[in-house]
Amino acid sequence: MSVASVLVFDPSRKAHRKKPTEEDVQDAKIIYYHPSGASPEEKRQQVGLVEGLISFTRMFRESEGSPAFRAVRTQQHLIVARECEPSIWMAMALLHSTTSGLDGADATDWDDDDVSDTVLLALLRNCHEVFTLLHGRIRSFCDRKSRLCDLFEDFIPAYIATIDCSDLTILHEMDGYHFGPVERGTYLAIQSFLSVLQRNFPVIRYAALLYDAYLVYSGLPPADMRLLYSYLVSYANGNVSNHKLNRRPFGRMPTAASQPGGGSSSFGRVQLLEGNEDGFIFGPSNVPTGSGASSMFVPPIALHNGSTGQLLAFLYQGIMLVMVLHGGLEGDSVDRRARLAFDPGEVPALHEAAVYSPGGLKDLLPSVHEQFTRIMSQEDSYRFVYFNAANHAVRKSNRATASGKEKCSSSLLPHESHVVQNMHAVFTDTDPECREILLKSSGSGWIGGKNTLDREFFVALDGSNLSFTKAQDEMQKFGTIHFANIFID
Amino acid sequence: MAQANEGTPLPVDSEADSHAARVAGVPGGFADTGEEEITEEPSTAAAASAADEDATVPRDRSLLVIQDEADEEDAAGADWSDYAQEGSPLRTARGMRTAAAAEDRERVHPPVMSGAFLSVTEGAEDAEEPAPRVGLEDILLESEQDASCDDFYGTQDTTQPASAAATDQERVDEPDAGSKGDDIQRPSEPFAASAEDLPNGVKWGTSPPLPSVPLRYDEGSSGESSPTSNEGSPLEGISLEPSQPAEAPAKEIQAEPEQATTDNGEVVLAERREGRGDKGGEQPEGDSETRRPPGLPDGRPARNRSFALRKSVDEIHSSYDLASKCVDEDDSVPEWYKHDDHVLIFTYSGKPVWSRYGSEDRLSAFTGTLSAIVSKMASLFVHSKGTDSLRYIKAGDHIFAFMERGPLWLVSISRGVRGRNKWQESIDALQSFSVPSTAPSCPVTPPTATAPHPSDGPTVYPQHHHQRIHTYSMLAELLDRIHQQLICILTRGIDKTLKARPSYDVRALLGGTDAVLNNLIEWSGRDMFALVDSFEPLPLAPPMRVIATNALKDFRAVGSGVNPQPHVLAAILLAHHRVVTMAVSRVIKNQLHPTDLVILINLVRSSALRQSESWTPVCLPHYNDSAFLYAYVNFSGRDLGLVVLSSTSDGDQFYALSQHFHRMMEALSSSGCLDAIRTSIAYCPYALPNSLLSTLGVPFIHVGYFLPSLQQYFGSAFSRDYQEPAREQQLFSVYHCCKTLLAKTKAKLPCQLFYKRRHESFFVWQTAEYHLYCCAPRWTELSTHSLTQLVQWLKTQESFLFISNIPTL
Repeated sequence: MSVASVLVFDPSRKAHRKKPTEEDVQDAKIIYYHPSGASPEEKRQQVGLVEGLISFTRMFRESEGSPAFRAVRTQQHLIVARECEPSIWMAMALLHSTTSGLDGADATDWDDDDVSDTVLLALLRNCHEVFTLLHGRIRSFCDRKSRLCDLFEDFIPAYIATIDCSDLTILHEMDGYHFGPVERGTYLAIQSFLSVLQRNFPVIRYAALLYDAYLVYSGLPPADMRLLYSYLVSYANGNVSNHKLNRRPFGRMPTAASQPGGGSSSFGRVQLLEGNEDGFIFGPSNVPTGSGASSMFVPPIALHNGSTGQLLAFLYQGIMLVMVLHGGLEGDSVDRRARLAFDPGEVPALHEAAVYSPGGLKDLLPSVHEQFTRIMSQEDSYRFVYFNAANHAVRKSNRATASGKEKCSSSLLPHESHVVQNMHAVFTDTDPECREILLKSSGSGWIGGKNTLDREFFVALDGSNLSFTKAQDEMQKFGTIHFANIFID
Repeated sequence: MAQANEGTPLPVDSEADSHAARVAGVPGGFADTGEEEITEEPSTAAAASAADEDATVPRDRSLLVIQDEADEEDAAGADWSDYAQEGSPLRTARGMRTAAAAEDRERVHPPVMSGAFLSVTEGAEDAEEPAPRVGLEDILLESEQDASCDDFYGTQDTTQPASAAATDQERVDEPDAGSKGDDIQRPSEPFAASAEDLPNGVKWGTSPPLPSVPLRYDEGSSGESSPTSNEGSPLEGISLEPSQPAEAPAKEIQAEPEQATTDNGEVVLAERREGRGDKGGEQPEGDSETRRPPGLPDGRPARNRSFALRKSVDEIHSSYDLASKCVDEDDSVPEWYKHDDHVLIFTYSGKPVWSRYGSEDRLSAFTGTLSAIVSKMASLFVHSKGTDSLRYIKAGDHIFAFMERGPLWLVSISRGVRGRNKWQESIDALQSFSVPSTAPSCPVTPPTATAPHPSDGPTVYPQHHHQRIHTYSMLAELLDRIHQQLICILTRGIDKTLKARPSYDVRALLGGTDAVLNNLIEWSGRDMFALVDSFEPLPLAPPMRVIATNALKDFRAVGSGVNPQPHVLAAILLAHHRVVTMAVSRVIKNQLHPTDLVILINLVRSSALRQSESWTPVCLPHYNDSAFLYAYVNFSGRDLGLVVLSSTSDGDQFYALSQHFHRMMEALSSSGCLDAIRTSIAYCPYALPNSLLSTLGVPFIHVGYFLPSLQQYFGSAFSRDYQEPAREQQLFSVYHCCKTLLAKTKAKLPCQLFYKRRHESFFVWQTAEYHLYCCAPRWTELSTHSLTQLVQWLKTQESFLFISNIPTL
């Protein structure tokens, strides 16, 4: 599977010529098309088709507010489209993988059911959101189409390179937080520490603290935090890592062009760190090259409330401290900002204060580490995946799979993951009234899924000889362990 | 007899066109020669024809009914020559107009739905249309048979004949027997024991409370031994005593009301009208359809113009109403878009072939758009080199499923319920809240400064109306089945014709087949055959089935001296859509695909074929999709029919088969088998005995049991609360969803799936030996024990439920 194309277009854009040809009309609508080397004919055809499908399917809508066209699947492709901003549509096409038969091309068998359209839609949404986070809304570039094209030219290929199509799971669609468990006292200590830090350094607008890529404390608005968390540490398969942005396919070098006003996107660019060492992810360079603004990389971000900020983050012994610095004028376009809104010289002092001041990270680390490890090192009694739509908590069990070989890399085996994905599709897409599914295939254990109120969880039971009644009991037991004090429908 | 193709029998015509040429003279010649011999047969049809002489109605070109009107020669001849010139695989003959007229009568005069067993009957139609007496004759024949034959079960249960007699008396006394019968069809809460209705703990869902004989037939017991005996019961404690209260069977037979009441069609009419009058006023309690608005399970008002589903599955084929097609609509009418389940067929050049709703004539712009979409999709990417093929489009709560079959495209536009994406909604909902941005750890987002946008704000979804569950695989299976039905009518020759002449108008060949295709769609959503790709036998005691099989396959020459057997490929005895028994020749052995059988049944039951003795070309797509076979179709009454597939269109064959039919009916009647069959028909769909349910501890709403080795299934009646077409449809769609889930996850056999919804629990259990589909109220506990017991019990009933031996002719 691979991404065949990404299309951004605005059906309302008109050609500038006085007597535009049909091609001019179509070309004017295209904001960006990936791959950019594709023939103009292919671009026009896709824009025409998606636009046609939008208006065709609109005829069947019950009311104006009804959801619009979202997916089309062919034997070879899956195309999803979304109106990401008013009158601006993004579409992404995925080419299905093939399993060629022995007889050559004629026997090509398209594996057309691998990725569900909801997962690909979530990917498309994330793509737009990350772009908006780093560069602001597409609409804000309305008078600078070439600038927008340059940005997309850098952003889209880099984004596509980070997509592992074979590893797209529902966890990507869920896009939630892995919460790090700490005791109440520690939590308050963290809150207090960050308040003091913000008071001492007013340039800090929001701050959040992660340990081992698990969210421990967030002062950011939830929507921004969710997006930042997803960008900074979450992989599409639901795994998280503090070093995500430092590793391939991310880990691009910050260049001068990637600074605001340059031609490149800041997507996937961080201050590089060797191995698991500590240092700045966003901020001054970790390699001593002298001081100066040139080595400073604090990418501007656009927040959901319309304001802008700059991102500063560093790692300390497994803790990631993420700070959003005041970004100057509210509502300013991210891209137009060419100057730092703070004194770069302040950053080392800020780092020093954050780590070594009384009650700072150095003091907090032992208790955070101890409490986190105590909880997280306990092996779960079941293998499961859990998601709560109310607080966006995601939880994967750390129990080893039955074979014991793939410990913790994934709480579910690939085929179990596939089953879970299909169950999730039933819960969310096919039959919203479905509450529970238990499935057993010969030779493998029961897999149970439950969709209750705002929660969804999936449990893979070991033992292929378990009867249905026993499987029900196990699901009951699982519920008792984890939801003893919560009403489960 | 003038035999155009006398001589070499045609096992199967390999090429439709050449075949058409070869037998071009047959229907006409056949009809000529047939005049004297069939004259005594249906003068009724002649009257029908005369009555409809002036009717300006579309003619059914796919049907061929043997009639004796000389005045139709010109029309038939003209039609035939048209076909010959066009190279159409279809033929027509004299009587075609009669068939079309008969069917059109059915359309013009919608069926009277006056009871679970009644649906529409020819009698009702006949009563309103003066001419045809076919239905009446059949009814009389049936009543005579009823009176003359010993009830098979009556021999076991002495209460039965007495009850029947009492019922006859009651029928005479009760002018509105139809509506009363309706009351009795669904007598009582099936799972709640009620001493008045059903003693001995035996309850029947939709069936009249006859003795529990059918489900208790003991293997090895002959007709003499009481099949209702509780001895040797596979499940201890299941009470299946045969005794019945005197009232119950009496009420039951009211369900077949007018048959013995009178020998005067007018009286029948009067009664039925009265029955309808009753419906207009005070409605009988048991008639759920009249209690609720059509189509919705929960009493909410209908939200679209889709027509009410027909009440019983058995009624689907006999009560198609052309009005449901909404021929006055097209794509310029907003109402047209509001139908729930569109199905359209068009050619690759964009010409409409068939539409479930609206007038095809006026939908050419719409099919042109669809055609443009599919052709654009094929070459959307340069690298696919025009080989891509559209599968589905999802938009809002609609799925547009596409299927390419040669030069034809089939499209289903179905309104399902779009899943509420909780994740997205929660995010959006949170984003829409406002709190001071200064709060550092505030769990909600400050208000956005930019203008709100629909895609950012909470998504507005329509309230969940009645849940409609549609998956692409379910729709694709339906489209494939529709295509096969089309091939059954047209053969693959249509592909060649369309490739040679892309602008060819296929609609001309499909005149009068609206009911066939529409019934297939409706039937697919409400029966198990679509789920397991197989057919349903009529439950029957094995000795009775043996008698029926022997009578069916006894093709000895009688009278005419012609033995039809050499050309007979298969003989099928039908009870409604269920197969009583069948026999197949060596030629076709193991090649009679269940889907072929199902579409054949749908064809003969949906069209005018069932109204008189008919002889029609049919194509079995899985057997040979480019050639026609000939089907002899004759229904006794409206429930019991014989279909014989013959490889020759020889006129003698028809007469020989006609004689065979009468001999068979005689044999069935004299042996008591006919009564046994009719009794079983009255029970269908069988409800599980209450005693079994109480033993299992689960009041199953529905149970489906499929045997892959036999390619047959048994579907129980729905429990009373679910005897609502829309609810039935919904439960089947959940079964489909379960099946799709198992298929998508590539589950290996044996596999099990438990699926709990808001109100019901489903369990699907697929093994190499059997597939079990069952549904129970959500509050009940399904357990391994109860399910295993259910399967064990069903296994003990297999000899009764299924046709274990299909003999070779």
